[in-house]
Amino acid sequence: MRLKRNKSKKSLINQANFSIENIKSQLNHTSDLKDREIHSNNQIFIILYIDSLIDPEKLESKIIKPLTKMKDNNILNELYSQEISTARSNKVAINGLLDGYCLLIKKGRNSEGFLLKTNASTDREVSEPKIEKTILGAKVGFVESLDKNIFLLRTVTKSPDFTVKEYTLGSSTTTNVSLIYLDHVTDPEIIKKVEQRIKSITLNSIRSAGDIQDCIEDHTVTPFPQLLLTERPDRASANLKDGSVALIIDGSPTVIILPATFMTFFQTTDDYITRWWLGSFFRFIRLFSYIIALILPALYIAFVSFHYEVIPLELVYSLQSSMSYVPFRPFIELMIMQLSLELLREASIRLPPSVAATFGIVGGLVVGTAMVEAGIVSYGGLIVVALTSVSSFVQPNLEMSSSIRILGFPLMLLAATFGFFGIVIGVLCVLIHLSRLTSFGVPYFSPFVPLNIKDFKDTIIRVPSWMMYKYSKNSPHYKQEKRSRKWKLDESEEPY
Amino acid sequence: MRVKNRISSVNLFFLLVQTMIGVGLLSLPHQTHDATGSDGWISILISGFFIQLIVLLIWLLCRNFPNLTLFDFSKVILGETSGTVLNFIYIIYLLTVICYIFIIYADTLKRWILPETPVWIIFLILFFLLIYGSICNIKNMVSLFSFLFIFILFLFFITFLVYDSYTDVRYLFPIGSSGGWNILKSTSDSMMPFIGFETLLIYFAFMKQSKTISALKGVFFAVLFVTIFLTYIVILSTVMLSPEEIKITPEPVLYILSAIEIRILSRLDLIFLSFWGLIVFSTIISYSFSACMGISKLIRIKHKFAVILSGTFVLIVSIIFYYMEITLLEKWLKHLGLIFGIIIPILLLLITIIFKREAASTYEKN
Repeated sequence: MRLKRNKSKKSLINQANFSIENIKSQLNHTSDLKDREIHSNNQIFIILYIDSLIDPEKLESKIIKPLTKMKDNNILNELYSQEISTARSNKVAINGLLDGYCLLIKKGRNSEGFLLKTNASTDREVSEPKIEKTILGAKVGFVESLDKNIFLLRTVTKSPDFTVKEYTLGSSTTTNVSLIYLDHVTDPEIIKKVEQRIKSITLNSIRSAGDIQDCIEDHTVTPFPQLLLTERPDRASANLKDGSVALIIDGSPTVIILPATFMTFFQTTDDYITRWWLGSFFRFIRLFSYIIALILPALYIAFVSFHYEVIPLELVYSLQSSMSYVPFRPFIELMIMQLSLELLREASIRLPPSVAATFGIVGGLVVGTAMVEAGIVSYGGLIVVALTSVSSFVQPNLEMSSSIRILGFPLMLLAATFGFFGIVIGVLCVLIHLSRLTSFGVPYFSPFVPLNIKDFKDTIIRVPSWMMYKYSKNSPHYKQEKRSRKWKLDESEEPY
Repeated sequence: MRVKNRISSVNLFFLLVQTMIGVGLLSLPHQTHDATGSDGWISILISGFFIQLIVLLIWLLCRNFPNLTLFDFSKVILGETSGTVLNFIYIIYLLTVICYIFIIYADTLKRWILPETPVWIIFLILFFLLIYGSICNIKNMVSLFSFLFIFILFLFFITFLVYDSYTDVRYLFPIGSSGGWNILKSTSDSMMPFIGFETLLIYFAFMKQSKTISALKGVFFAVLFVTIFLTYIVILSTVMLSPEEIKITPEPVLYILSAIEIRILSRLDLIFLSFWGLIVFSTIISYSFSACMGISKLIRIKHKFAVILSGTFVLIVSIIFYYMEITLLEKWLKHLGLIFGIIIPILLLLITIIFKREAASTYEKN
């Protein structure tokens, strides 16, 4: 109730007359709100600013200095500030102040003020991305500043179609969010959907990219991520050129790319830099490892506890010899291993790098070997779990690889209860689920479901770039001339 | 009917192939052998050709009523009351087919993979999968089926591993030994594995241009594909197994595969059975989607509740039949398939032509 009254009081002030007093009281007379009077050319100016948000250097050299030496009556001709806008209401003025602008008011003319850009920047230097590593890709990663991120993106996407739309989200604390797309390339339907969903966000405050992701993704009850989070400008730019939309959130070094389909998470920048044979091979390896990581533990359980007749006899003997000392069922055994692996994984994130190596040896090698020798798990189980975790590390995207962890346990449980039939049930459920997912209207499991052979060109394989002249992606207008290798025809010689 | 989601000719291909290839696959060589001996493949080919004609007739019927399913145009053709009765009978028929598939599925699983598991648990799982799979729109269904098509190709590839010294082409000869009349007579029996084409009465309504001949293209290739696939399976079993063996093995394909041992996998039949399990499920989903569409039109409830209703019905009936008499439904379906797949559509077509029935309102633009 108190909160409600408070709010109504604020909105009253919002509508109140535009004056310095009102602005000050709405900002609760906070101590770092400073004002300064300047007498110049028979006029009195008042500058209002939040001390902690502005760059004093800029304020002194660009605003105070020219003001004191002013000869002309028109202020706008005298100031050096690069961005000047007029504010006629308290709300605009306050938002400007909070963005690091200073408010300049001419005494006697209380109806309007000028907002001058003097914001301080705390940008860190652009550095190499930490998580999404590549071998040959650009060594540039996004930073925490919105403007700088747009700058980074624009430098690799030079196009007059490059469009930026700004939104201010959050009702109690505000965050600036920029929507970026290439006009004429991106499907207008998708842009419309994104805009609509962003406008409907009514959160009190935006903490990170995750908050926006939660609000705008199509399906929440699913282990599969439907938006791509990236920290690489080159990747974001490549996706923009394919007709995706990028969302940059102020203060967050991760940029949201949407719509993202299942296969988007298997692409990396390196695929496009290396020759296409290698690129396609890596794609295959990633997809294969995803499937392996998903069903290998379940298959192992089904094999050893139900259908040992499927595997060759020699293998049965060798598996049996180490399993006979283990008192647990294969399912329990794998669960113990998986859980201890999750512990290791979680622990290694928090550790400083110098300790991590020791930890890896102690945690992985010593515990693993000791567990087998103590008869807690068998060699077969150990191999399966190790292979699974290695395969899940192959995944270039963190969220996609965590979907394996979430889906893996139910599959193991099903395999432990029904054997192959259980795996069939599990796989069928996953397929049904995948066939229904969409990401901003684009089918999630896209080139496979619905089957579209044309789009295989840049999903399970990567064909040479000159061959990608006819494929849909998210762009209805995607066109590329076929002629990049026309020189080959001109150069080719008849052997006789 | 206002059609929200349209399907293309290619989509119809996947829909039809997945609906037609189903439980009949495993026991097919055994059944054809009972009827015609080593000439089973001829009768399958003839039935395949025959089905093409039937499908053509169904198309001729449906093109009079664009955007209308069987459940809508039956009322136009037969009048309100008798149309409703026909719809009701059709729904019962479709549900009976699902019951039959449930029973065969559970029975096969029990005999080959899960001998100790109580059957009602398998039924219960099938029930949940049916409900999860059928609450969707036709676009979802088509996309799922087009992916599952890959598994049909897998089935093909698995059977390639079979060729070995066991094969004896002489089992096929002399061709036509069982007599031309016998072969023709058995085509009515070999029509059984083809059932699934009657769902076209419903799916044609979702076509973009059901009037043009291009709508028929997907259907034509689907029936062709199924015919070739089934013929291949029958020929494979005839070549691999001696006539005496086929007589006593209810699932010849699995029997053949179980004997094969390649280096890394010893029991191919279990792999085959797993893929087969996926494909049968698409048949179940397709049938239950059609049936639920009828139910929701008949008693005006939402699709979701229709699915739950029909799922419960199927669960109860199939459990009852499983413990009572397994083969009873199969005997019934042999005749029911003929009646509902062939005779009734032909009758409807005749009435439409003779009495010049036309659709009152069609949302052609939509």
